[in-house]
Amino acid sequence: MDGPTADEMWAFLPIGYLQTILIEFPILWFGLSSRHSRGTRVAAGLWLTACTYPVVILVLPLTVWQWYGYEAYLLVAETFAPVAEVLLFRLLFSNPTSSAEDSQRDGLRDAAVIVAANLASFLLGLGLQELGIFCLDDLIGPGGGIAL
Amino acid sequence: MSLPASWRSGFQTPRSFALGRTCGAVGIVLAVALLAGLLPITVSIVAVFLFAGPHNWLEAQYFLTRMPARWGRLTGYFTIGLGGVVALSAAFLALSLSWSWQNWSESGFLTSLALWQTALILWIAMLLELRTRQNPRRDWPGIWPVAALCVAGVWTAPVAWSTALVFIHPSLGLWYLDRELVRLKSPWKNAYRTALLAVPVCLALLLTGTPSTLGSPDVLTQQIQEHAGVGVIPGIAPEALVAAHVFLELLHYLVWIVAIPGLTIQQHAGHWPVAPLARRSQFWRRAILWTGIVGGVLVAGLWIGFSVDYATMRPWYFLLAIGHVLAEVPFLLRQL
Repeated sequence: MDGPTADEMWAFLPIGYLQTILIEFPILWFGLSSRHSRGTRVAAGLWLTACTYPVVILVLPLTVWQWYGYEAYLLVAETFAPVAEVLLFRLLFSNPTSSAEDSQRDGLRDAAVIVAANLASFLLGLGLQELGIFCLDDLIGPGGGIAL
Repeated sequence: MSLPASWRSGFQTPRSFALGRTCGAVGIVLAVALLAGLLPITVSIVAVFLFAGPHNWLEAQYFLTRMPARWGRLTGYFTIGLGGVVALSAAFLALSLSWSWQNWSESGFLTSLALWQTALILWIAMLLELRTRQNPRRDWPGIWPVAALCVAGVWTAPVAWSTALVFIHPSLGLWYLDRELVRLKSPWKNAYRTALLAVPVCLALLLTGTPSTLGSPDVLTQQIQEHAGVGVIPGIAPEALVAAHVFLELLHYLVWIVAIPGLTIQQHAGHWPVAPLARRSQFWRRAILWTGIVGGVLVAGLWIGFSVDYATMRPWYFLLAIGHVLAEVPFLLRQL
């Protein structure tokens, strides 16, 4: 058995969530296609991470990390989060009134921005962890890290 | 000395009726709590024996009357709703039998339980999402974040979630009754909501004040205690947990056997409400009639089973009863 305990992850959840939206929110705000209102951008910035973060930070460490190790966890978590967020965004914020061509172009742009936001939070999260900011090392211990 | 005319008439004013209803509703809740607190195990045994079967039968009748004759735009909702009831019930039954008969490791048991609970949460979230798109439209942005948090909770403490479901299920009946009172514009609505305020107070009193009994429990008592969360919820006496569960369970039975049938019969001028499905065709009329007859036979069979071997029949009943627990979800969500 490897990886953090459930109590540690619950304690980390609100801190990690805030850290993640601090990084992802500006990218989504400026990056999402112009057809989306400010309200949609704000909702996307806060809501998408709220939907995926508990799974990334609690379910996957207790399953994938413990059974298959940290690298497998990183791979699964960093695939799950952007894919789930793109699907949720398309499901709830797609605009059926726009033309098929516009819709496809904007949809691709939105998907790319969501993936980029996730990648940025992952890389910046790792960087902050290396610098010891947010005291993640105390929580996780040496040799492990949490993908944001 | 006679009372002043204004006093006498005061007993017949709407305000005095309202006060009478409130006192009646609160009195029922307090009486049920007292009964559950004084004799938790005995009341649990008797209540399940008498009311478990009939309340299932009446719930099924109620669901049939709430099902539209033709699903139309609700086809997706009812397909996922009823399909989920069947699939999740079958999976729960298969898992429970497998846990009993095969030698599962602790991690295997916990993982399979968490998987089933995850499926349950995603099913409810999907139904809620579909519900937001039906009339009257609802704006519930918290569905998926809350579902994600619940899934996280399930994976960190699956057994605790199972116990939570045991306590949440009786409360669903209370919610149903509230929706019915609103739908039928019943004068009992305010009295009922006042009585609901007494429920958490009674629960707190039962959990802290139920006296412990001395001596080791017999097999049936142990079974009842385990069902109420003994061994999962720390720091509370077994009798107190049983009393709290019996209290909610009795309220649940009262809702389904007395309150909702009484309200709906009153709405239909003393006649049992006819299911819209029965108007669809001769086939559906017969199907509903036979469902009622078969349900009645099953209720009688349950009573016979309980009479022959209560301790064996009780866990089997709760295993099979998962179907009615799940069926409450799609019909309740339609009313929100």
